[in-house]
Amino acid sequence: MRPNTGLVPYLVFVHGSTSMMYGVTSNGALLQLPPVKPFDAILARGLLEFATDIIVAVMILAGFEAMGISAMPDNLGGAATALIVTAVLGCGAGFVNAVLQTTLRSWDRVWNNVTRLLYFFSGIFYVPGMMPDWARDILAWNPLLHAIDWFRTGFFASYEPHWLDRRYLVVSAVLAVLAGLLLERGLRRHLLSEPA
Amino acid sequence: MIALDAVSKTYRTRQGGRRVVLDRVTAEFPEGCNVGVLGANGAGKSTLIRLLAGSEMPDRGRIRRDGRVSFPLGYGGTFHGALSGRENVAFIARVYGADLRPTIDYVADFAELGAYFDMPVNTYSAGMRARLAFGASLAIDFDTYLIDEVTEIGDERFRRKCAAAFRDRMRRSDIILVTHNSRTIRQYCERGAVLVGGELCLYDDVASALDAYRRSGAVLQ
Repeated sequence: MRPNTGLVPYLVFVHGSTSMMYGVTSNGALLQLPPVKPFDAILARGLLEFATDIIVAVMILAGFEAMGISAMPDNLGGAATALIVTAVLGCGAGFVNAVLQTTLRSWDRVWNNVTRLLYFFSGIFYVPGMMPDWARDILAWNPLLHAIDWFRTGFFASYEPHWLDRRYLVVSAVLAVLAGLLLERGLRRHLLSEPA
Repeated sequence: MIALDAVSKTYRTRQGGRRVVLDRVTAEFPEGCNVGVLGANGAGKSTLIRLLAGSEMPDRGRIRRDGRVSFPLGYGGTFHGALSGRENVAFIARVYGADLRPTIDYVADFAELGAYFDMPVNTYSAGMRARLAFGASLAIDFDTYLIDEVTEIGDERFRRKCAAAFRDRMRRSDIILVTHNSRTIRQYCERGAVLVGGELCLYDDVASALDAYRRSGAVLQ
């Protein structure tokens, strides 16, 4: 059961940050409407992805319950909080991606490979508890690993890994959003410019 | 009223060159009069309209707008191709805080798209998109309408309908239109301007603007 709990926060992060990446470049027509700002178009994509993932997660849980398989988290509030912080982290990365994508047209190829690497380095299938200490110490720099383990602690009351640092994830998420918004503000004139 | 304060705008072209559209331009489009901006192909007329609308931002300088300014009206649509004309109009109405039902009814009547009004905008011809855009902008009360070279939309009958609608609207709203067609500018505007070589000059009447445009070596249509 533990590996499966890794996928939901991973996908919340990847779906949001990847869809938001195209928030400016794929919305040329929408952004011709002056009241619609790049910020709106980017954030809307993130909200849509998050809402979709939440609905899917609820449907999966309800499906398990309907089949008589107990899948409800031991601590629903903890799991939900973890997902929200993960979404904020993805939102920050999404804003950074959206700005970079308008400047560097091949940025999406880089990001897609980053998310592929994160798939292996975030403790989804190779649960951090199974890793050698030295490997886990290195991978613990990856905020997404904390997102996934935080989500797990919500599902399994007995699971409370000593390497999990919730504050590290929260600080990373806030810094990512700040970086994304600063980039958007700094390059706004460039975002609202017809591609030559 | 739209005022430009030391506005500069430059493009990087595909060949790696730079094209200057506006070079430290300070100008004012005053309230209560319709201005036609003349410019050759490639002078940056469409860019000027997008800058005035706020769909694009200048490299330097400020643009001030008093009153509600329309989105840029032209062939380049502001529509989502997968949504129908009706859905697009509903979206624009929500963006500008207009009432949905009267706005949609007005556009359905004005644009004369028939069954296409409920088809994806992807399936529209350029003329149909322009009709939808004109309808949508007329349905919302803007103080200034920004029009990009759309004198050839639809057939003669629809052009006359458009001209009549705008003449009616011109009693309370202003029009700024860019064109290289002298007939269009005489038809709609009492003032003229010329955009050439990064400079924008406003003239008190259309005739002087046409003269200046001719002297700049451009060919009038």
